[in-house]
Amino acid sequence: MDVPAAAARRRTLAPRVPVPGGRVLSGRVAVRSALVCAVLLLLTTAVTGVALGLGEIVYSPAEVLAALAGRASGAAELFVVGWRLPRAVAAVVFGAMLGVSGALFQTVTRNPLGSPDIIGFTAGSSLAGTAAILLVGSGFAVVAGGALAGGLAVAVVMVLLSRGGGVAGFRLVIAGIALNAMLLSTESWLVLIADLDAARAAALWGAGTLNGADFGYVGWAMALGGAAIVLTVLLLGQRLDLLDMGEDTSSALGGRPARTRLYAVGAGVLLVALVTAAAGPIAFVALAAPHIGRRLTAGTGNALIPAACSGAFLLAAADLAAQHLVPGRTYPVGVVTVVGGGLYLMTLIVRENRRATL
Amino acid sequence: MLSVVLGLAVLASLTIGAETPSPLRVLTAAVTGWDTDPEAWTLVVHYRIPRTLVAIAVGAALGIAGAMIQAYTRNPLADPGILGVNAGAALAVIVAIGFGLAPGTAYLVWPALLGALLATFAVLLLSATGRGPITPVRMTLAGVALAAVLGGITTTIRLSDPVTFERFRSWAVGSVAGRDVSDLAAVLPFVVAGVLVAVSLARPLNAVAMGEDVARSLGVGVLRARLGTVGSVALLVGAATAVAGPIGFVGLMVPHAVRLLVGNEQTRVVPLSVLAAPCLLVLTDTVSRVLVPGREIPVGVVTAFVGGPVLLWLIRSRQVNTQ
Repeated sequence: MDVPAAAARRRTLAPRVPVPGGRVLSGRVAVRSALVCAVLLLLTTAVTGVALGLGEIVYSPAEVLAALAGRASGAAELFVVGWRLPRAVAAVVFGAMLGVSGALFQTVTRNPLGSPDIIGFTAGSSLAGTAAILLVGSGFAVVAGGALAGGLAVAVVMVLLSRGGGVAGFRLVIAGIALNAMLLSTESWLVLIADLDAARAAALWGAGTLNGADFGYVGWAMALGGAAIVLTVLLLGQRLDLLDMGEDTSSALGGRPARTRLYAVGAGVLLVALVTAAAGPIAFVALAAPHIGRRLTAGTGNALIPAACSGAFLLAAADLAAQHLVPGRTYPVGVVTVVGGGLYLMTLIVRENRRATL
Repeated sequence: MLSVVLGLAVLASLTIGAETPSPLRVLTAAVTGWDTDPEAWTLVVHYRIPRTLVAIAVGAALGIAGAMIQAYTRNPLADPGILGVNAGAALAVIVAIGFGLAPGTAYLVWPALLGALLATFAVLLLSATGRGPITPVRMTLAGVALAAVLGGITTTIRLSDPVTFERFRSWAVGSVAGRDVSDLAAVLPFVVAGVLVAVSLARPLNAVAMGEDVARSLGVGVLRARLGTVGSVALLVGAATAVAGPIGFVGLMVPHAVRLLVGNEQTRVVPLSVLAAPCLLVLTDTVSRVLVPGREIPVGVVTAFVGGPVLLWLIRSRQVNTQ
């Protein structure tokens, strides 16, 4: 599965801005990438606006804006700002976090299928989170700690397995299947031996849901995740570009591939674990978002920001669908992403089959 | 030799557990009946024997299904769990439970069969789209994608109401505990039918394994062999899944082990899988009873923990050509 490498089509602007003191500030802006991100963010905003307006009581865009500006009636403000806004914002931020996480893993593994869902980090976080809910309790710190520990444990296993190039390419997918099977069967056993109410609570979390998200609960995850994204983009962005060119090139250009990879895996696990802790395992956004970002930007350059924008859009749209696709029923958003992601993977397979590249 | 192993495994399965009477006492009780040793007799006849029989039937079904699907797809990684066939059966079962169509295990057979059949077809169709040979990569990814979609829908229904959730959670983990003889009787005809079809197809599949053109020139009905294989896999997996829930990796491991012993000859792999797979499942089930003191682990969890590393070993040892 090759990523469409159309570096030739990438146009960059290299503005040189004179700043006081006789110096010149220069930089490169990839025009297409910036445009794509802008469009994706506009779409995300539109979807979020719709999500804020829809519900048992439907508000017009004007009313939504009024409520956001604090100029609406008490009821409208309660619905839009109090209830719907946290959920909509959480979908956007978590989507961006998953997108960045997926881009990190896909770059590190140099494998378009190397997303945390396929490798088993999501399942590891999910198992440890379930165990934490069933054995300790459902406070955010407990679940977050569990999810983070689970993700890191899987990361260690994966690093051990990949020594000597044992899980390159397609092997990574198979290793993920093996890990997923072990983790998920243990999880279903834990759910089996717990008492029914606790088991249902754990299972609902395990499906991945933003129901009842409020800033008190998911705020921590969003703040930490937002900070992690900014830090990752600023500190690792360029080094990951180098890593994309291959081990040797990266070394030669001073990219320190081993250390970059370590940081990237750490950041990727942290992002997945935070989302999983706050909302449960939400599958396949991390797989699809970097692909979509790359296809739209048609470049092989920095994949993090387009992936974040596509992830935000995907999860916002998925959560809108989860709430309103079937009137009167709200589904866990994780169900929507897993079904949608599976279908997406199928179309990928069909496309690659047509080219006979698999 | 495998028969001896199976015999020992059965004896162990009858003996070991929360209560562990001596093997001699077990055999005496089983032979002499309730009068002499009611305690041991009840334990053995009511709990251990049905459970062991279920494990034998389920193991045999999964082992042969694995051997068939690996030969048919020429894919050493093929397994009902990996290819999403279990997920198909699971979805059909939860639909049946959720809509109140299945008051007992016996009623789960039909939905499980149907789900397994549809999922098998779907995964084969999906991997056969486009051009070029059907590689293990394609097929495995198709299985992952299919299992994701089906699993997502299963989760939705599972969470819809507590009663469905309660029944499904005990089924979904994959276990042979607490099944009785009537459950077994309900699915046994399907297992037997599946085994017979599999045995009759062993020779044609040998030819198919050499390539379709070769098979045709040898006078083998390729289409019939293919349809027969899909049918028998669906019968076997559907029946096994209906009674025990989704149990992964048995179908993956057993044919590999058997091929290590006797080579690739399908006419020998199939009959030996019938013996080897029950050995594996009966033994894992026995171990699962005592692994954690005071609490049984469902056998599906144990097979995942045995099978997962085997799968890792298979790909690391480069037994599988993955490009």
